[in-house]
Amino acid sequence: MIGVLRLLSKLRLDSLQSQKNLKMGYGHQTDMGGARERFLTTQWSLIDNIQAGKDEDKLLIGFLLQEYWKPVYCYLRRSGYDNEQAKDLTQAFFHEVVLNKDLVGRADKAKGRFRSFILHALKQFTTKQYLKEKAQKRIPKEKMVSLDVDESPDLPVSLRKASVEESFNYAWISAIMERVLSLVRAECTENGMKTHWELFYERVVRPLLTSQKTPSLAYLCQRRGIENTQTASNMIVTVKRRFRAALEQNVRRTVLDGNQTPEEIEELLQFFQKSAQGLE
Amino acid sequence: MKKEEPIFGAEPDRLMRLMKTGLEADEAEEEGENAETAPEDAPTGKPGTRIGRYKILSMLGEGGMGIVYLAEQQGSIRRRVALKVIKPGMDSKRVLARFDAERQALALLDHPNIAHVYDAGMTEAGRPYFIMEHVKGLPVTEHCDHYKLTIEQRLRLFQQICQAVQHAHQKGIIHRDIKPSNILVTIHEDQAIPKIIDFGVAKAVLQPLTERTLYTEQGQLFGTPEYMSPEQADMANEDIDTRSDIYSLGVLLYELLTGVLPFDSETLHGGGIDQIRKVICETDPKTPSTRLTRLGEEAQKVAENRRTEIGILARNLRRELEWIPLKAMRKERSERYRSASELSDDVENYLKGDPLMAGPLTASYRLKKFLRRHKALVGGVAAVLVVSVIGTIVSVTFAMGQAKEMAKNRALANFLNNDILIPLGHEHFKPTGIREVFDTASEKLTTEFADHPLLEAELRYSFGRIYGWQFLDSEIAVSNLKRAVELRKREGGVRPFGYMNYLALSCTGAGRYSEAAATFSEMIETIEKERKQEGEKPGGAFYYAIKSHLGNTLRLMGRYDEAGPYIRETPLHPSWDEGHWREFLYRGRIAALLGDQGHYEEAEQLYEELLENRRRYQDEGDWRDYAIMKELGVLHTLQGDLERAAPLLEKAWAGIQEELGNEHGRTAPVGVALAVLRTKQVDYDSAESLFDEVLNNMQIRMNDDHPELLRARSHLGVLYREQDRHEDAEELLM
Repeated sequence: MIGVLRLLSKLRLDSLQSQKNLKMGYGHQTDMGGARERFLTTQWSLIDNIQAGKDEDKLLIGFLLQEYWKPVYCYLRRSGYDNEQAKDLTQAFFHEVVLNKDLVGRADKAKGRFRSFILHALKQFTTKQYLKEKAQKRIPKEKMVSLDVDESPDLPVSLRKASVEESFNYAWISAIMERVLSLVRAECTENGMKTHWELFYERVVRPLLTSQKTPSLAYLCQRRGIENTQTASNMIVTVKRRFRAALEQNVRRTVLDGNQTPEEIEELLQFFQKSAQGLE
Repeated sequence: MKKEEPIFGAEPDRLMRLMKTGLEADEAEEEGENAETAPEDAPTGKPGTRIGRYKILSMLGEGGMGIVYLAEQQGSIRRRVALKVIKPGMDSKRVLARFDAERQALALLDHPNIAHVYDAGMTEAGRPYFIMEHVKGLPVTEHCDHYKLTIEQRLRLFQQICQAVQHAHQKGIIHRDIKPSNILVTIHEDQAIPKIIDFGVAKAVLQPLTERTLYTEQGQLFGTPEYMSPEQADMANEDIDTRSDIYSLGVLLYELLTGVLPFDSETLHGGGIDQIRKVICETDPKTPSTRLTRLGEEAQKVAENRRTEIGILARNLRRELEWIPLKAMRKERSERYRSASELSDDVENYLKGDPLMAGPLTASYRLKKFLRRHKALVGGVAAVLVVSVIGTIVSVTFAMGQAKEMAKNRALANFLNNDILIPLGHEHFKPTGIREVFDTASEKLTTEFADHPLLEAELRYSFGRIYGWQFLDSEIAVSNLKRAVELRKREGGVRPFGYMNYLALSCTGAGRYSEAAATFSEMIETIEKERKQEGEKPGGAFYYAIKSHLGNTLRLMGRYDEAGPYIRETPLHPSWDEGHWREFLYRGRIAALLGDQGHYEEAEQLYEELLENRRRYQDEGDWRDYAIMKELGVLHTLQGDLERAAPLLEKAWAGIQEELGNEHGRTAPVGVALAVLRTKQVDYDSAESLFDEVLNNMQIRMNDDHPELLRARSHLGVLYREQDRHEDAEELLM
């Protein structure tokens, strides 16, 4: 119980803290040191005493839903559920994760990696066929934290025939990338570095995401009235560095032990390679 | 900006590329080749394509000839490497040959601070490439600033770089483009390791390539102007050797220390190649300390990046440190360091506090360094001894001023360094060891300085003082001083009164009274004659001091009547306050004279007055008080007043032993006086043992014919006779 809940608390805190830091313009510092440890300890004891319906777990669930609903949803969609069913089950799943102490036993298998844990838990969840009715019987729908999803996210063409796990991982990764890009964008904007961001996006991101040509530095400089390409280059490098930092941090948030970050990144990249190779 | 692309829904491989790019964020954006074309359209280098068994990941950078990619080796060993391939369109035979030369050169190199070459090959298009260690890190200057390394830390990094360059030189390879962007610092297990990359313009000395033609063909300058040596810039010169790299290392060091370049980019790039040549070959760089102090606001940043303050940094540079880069950057190659390891050694010298090769060849420089370094090491009595010994030598060299003749100064510096300072350094300050050092050095004095008699004279004077004061060996002191006086007289010039005075005093100490008296008399006569010629009366503190010394010497010779006027006259011309130690000296002599003449009561009175005066000015007793006490004790003894004598002599004996030690020339007389008292007290055993002890010490120091020694012996003889040991007494007197 302790392991996964610690993870959850950590995630929540990291998220809150980085949002706070963002507002203060500090970038992506997520370490509070001793205070955080103490806070975690307090959270444990709170969590240990959780009973359904209390406020704290609502916060946790809400947080998890917000951050990680997409991968779970995609998994469930690929498992055969339609849009509405998938949504309901996503909600139910997260409630289960927080409240069901049995599931926590699986956390050790995941060895502190949240993504793996969720994946395993999901497998458990679906194989045990927790049907809509059972979930709703346990927790009345009104008392659940709601999941507001506007559009049904569509998987990319190449993954339409992918496995549930691949869908999950794809959604997971794309969620991370989305989060990282929006964080860096917001940070740039808040710190008066809008042009930095745009240069970075146009020169690095867009060409990688689409099949468009990389615009030359000279062209970009001209468009934005920057004096020389060296300046532009430096600006882009600055954003690149923040991008990398944010990327690493976002992955690190999902592992209990920071040293596992490279492993996790490796695994994510390998997933890509498999799919990438499958296409080329 | 157009609307951003959605992430979710993008093809996985594109997300992968984005992620990978994100993780390799420290490569600079470069315009690169014709950038209208995206990397995907280039013949090689599309991320994801393969060259041999290496998969291209991203582009790292671009040079004159080739492009460097980040690649991943496929197969059982997966590692990230740097892959350098010739640019398309640059495959003329000459360039290919050059590329191959570089590869071969690098394959010869095997050093922890040089990027390894793993492999080489040919692309399908027939362009050569080779595989190197991928060094991830910041350029050395940026690294130092980012981590705010101190000067010492920077110097240590620099030494590693020198060693790498040395390695390359030993294999016959000159880098020719040493600059910060070619030296990246990686961190491995908490250690900073600088690595030299890109031997792109390196020239293997064994294979001459026609440099000239490459200049004119391409119209480009190979190398980087800011770091280029004069011979490189001077294109007429084809003869580039390893010392060119030394120059660049000097520039690098300059930058690491000060944060600025010796010739900044603005100065250089003002007017084309000719301007560059002119500046590099003809203008002297401003010294680092000067540049620093003229920086203004930026200086603050520079200091912060080195965790120091501007004032301290500038001072350290000015004192010495800046000599190192400046020596490496001499226009004349032969004046630079001869090798990269010599440069590294001099940095080590600086760090250890030793004199620098780049330093001036003066004695005072070497001495200052010695003092500074050894003060920290020593403690206790040895420290006092050494510092005063060195101090004497220092005063000699300073008295000589900044010797105008280089040869003289160099001779002195070498002698002091090799014959005194270095051996002293080895002796770890054992008093006996120090004496031997000086003994050995003394033997060399005449031969070493045969051409410089005045220098020898100075040194002999120093040595004389050292032997007199420190080693308490008046005989050797006298011989040194005699020679000093002789040399000075021979060379003419000003009369060496300082030497003569000291000589005479030493003679007195050695018991050579008549020689002393003769010297004192000579000085007095000379002064009086000169004053007369000038139409003035003789006077002055020195004059009266000599007179008193003469008087004292005469007294010691027993010539009381002659002594009287000299001794009595001097105190009448006081130029000191009462209680000053000179008062003790001069008035003490009057008392002594009185005592010698048998005017005991008057002598006693005078001594007691002196003692009381001294007590007024200082609480604690010192050896002069004990000397007075001894005189009083002797007087009482002579008058048979043993009870009054005893406490004085006991106290004086205990005190003077403690203060000056048993070997000191002034201690023995007190012991003798006490022993005489004991004889009178009929305490024969105690008296005899005391005599033995004191005589032992005296015999070591003094010649057999020293009056004091003779006197002591005669007192012992008296003791023997009291004990009816007549044979022993006779032996003594023989």
